[in-house]
Amino acid sequence: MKAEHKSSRVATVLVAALLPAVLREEMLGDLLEGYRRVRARLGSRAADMWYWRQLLALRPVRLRRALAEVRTNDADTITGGGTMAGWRDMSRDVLVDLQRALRVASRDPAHSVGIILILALGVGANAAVFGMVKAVLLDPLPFDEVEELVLVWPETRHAPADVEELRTLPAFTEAAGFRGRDLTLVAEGFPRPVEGALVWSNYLALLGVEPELGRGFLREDQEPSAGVVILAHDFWVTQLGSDPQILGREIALDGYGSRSRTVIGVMSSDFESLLPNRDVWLPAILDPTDEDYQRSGTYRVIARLSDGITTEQAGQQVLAQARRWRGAEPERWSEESLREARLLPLMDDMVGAVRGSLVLAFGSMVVLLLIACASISNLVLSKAVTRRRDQWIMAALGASRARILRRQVLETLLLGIVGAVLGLWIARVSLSMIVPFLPPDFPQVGDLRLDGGVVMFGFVLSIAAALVASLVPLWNTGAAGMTGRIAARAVSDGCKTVRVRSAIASAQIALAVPLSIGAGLLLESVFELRRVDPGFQADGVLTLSTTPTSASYDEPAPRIALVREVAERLAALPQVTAVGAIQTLPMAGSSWQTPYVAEDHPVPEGAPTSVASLRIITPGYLEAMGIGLNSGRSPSEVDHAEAPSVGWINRALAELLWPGESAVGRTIHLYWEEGPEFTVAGVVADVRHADLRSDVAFEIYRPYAQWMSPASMSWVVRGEDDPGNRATAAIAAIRDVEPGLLVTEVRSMVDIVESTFTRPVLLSHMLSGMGAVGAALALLGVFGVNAYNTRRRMAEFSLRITLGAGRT
Amino acid sequence: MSKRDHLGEFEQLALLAILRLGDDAYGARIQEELDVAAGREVSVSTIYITLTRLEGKGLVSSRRGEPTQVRGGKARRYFNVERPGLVSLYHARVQLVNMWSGVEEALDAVAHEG
Repeated sequence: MKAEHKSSRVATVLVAALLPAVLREEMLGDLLEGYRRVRARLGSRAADMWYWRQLLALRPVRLRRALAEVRTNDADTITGGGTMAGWRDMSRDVLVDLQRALRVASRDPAHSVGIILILALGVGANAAVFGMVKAVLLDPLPFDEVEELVLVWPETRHAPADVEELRTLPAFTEAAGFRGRDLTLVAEGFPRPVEGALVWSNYLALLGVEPELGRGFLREDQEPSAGVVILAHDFWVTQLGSDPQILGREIALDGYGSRSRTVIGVMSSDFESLLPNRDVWLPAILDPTDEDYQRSGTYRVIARLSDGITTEQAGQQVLAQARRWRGAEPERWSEESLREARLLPLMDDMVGAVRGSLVLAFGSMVVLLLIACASISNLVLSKAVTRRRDQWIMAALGASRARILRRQVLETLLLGIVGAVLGLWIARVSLSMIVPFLPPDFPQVGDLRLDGGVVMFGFVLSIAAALVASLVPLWNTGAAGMTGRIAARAVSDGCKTVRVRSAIASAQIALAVPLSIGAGLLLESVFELRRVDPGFQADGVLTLSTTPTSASYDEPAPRIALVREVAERLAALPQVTAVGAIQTLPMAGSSWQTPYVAEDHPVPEGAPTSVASLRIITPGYLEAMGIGLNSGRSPSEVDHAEAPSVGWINRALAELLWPGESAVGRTIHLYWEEGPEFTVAGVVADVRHADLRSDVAFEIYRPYAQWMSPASMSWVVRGEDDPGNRATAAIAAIRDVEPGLLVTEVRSMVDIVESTFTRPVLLSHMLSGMGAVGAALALLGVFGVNAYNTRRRMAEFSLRITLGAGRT
Repeated sequence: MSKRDHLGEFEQLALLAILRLGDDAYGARIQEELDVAAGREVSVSTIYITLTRLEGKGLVSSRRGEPTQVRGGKARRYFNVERPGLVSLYHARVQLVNMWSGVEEALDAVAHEG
């Protein structure tokens, strides 16, 4: 059957294992012939079914019995092996016991199904969480000697010159800078967004990975004139049709350095970048003549520790370097920032955020499993009396203690295996349901599946749970005495069993209560979170981002004109009530920070400059976003490039700077005391920009036409209908204004807010699910004990009623 | 004929299949013959259990053939009905024919309905 079909191959192995050696070859041959006959007549599927039916009808015990009869009568007719008679007898006994176990299980289906379901629920939930814990915490990250990899000064972004200096520290064998960069693939039709990463040439070598095709970066690739790119496997497949001649081909990428780039490599599909979901990797340009080289801190730094150097020792070297920097440029390196000059092991960075949640989930799983075990114990105990009677009879008829125990173990194993299979199926379904809801930055999200380790875990757990739960209570309640004689006294349930069952039921409740309370508290915290006022009104808002791809928008003036025109077109759409734009939407990216010095608030010598989040907005943004104005006026078209510089601050900043006074009309300088200034034109409501859990930041809003005029802007289109209905018309309107505008991230503001809930909601749902299952299992246990006690005392109750006692 | 030699219905069918197949009576062919001629779909295992039991009673004998390429290099086990088997079959037939005589008309009606 080897080449015929996979399922039949499995069947063949099973058949071969079960058949007596003396007839194995003939019967396998007959099965093969039969399989081919059915396949020729009815097709492969029917033949597979036929083969499995043959397997199910195998009855190897009866076949062995028949064979034994032949050998007794006429030893020459069918000759068996004979040399391993003892082993044959034993395997026959095991088969007999297995058949009996099947019979026992099917005789009381409610009992067996109960145990299997409890096991499946317990094992399924545990295997699903174990799959997540394994993928995130236990499986090493797919990098060479990952424990040597550290992030250097993780809270700070470094300029290229800083990275170059960090590379020279003896604590590191290698150090490399890296950062994300949004790019645009310029090809036929509309431009397409590309998620890129800018990396040092030694980045891949440092991680210990190589491209699947082509080569990695060389040092000279970091020169400004070089134009090379390495592609992600998926990008190569989906965007470039898996072109086998890709190496050496030119592609046009806008957004960083040279536009035309030569493909020098393709990464393998299982490469996991430090930045999730990258399409391409570009070498970071090192140009000491560029101003950004010294000052523009945008890179994170990863390093590999030298042999024999601990994280602490390396951290000391980094701190010493930081002090040298502060000595040379005190205005750039504050004393405060030096406190963050430390190292963070890569593993902690990638899994740190979810470690707590997973450990909590795993702890709850263990509790759930204990409840499941207790439930099974109770079910087993409910049958203890009949079982003990059987065992005593077996012992009286001469069965050995081992045989009796084996019978019990086989019964349990059978239930354990079925429970494990069902449980793993539940785990698989749960994982496939969970994965789409995980945030994309969830570590190793692609590895969440039932691999060999998880399957093994599920089976071991199920069988161990079944064995412990069904054998331990029997042992405790006197089944150990089965080797003795049939007891003279009537076989009945002792007080000890009743006590054990009550204790188990109490333990279940004791375990289920904290589980349910924990789940309840977590749910409550999610509800609390939903009640938090974000400071804006997300309902009815459509958002989309635009980036010009043409060089004609390199200067601010055409960008300002373009943004004004897009705003007018969007506002003219039917159902639209307000339109505005901001450089980064709330809850959809990091904030730009800007140092500032406010009127009447001089910065003392040596003290760090205060920092606020900077928002660049167009007229109409506050209305479109539903952000309230506390005092002053809203931004409008009067705030053009030549008009007096104005800005808005949020209530928190106004309270900080001028408590109890009006902030309108005050002056704030950006960067330093003599830096560019603006007059506060109004105070706006506080907005929770990062997420609903974070504190309100100090915010400065500046008009688009007056400050920076960034190329990429996120549009906010408020309307009276469903935001989804507006998307197509909005994109068409934007492309009508400028076909070269790259339109990305089209989604509703409600979706953006919801995405910040993903993690707490997921965890609370998982825990509530477990709490519900735990409570159900515990209730089942209590019900079982009560029902059992009632049944046990039925004779007594009948007698009482006969003697005239009332039902109450 | 002793009770021990009494043939069950399936045993009779199996013996008849062997006789009908002659020198070509081995597991898969017997299974096919029972399916096609008697409309009985039985498992290979059932055939071997029955025939092994009959061999124990001396009603059939078996021998292993040469391995053949058609069956993936697996040998066949050919079965042959021995004289006691023929005698048992004969008795079974006589018994049945006797019992059938006189009742066939009653069943003809069913045959015509069906």
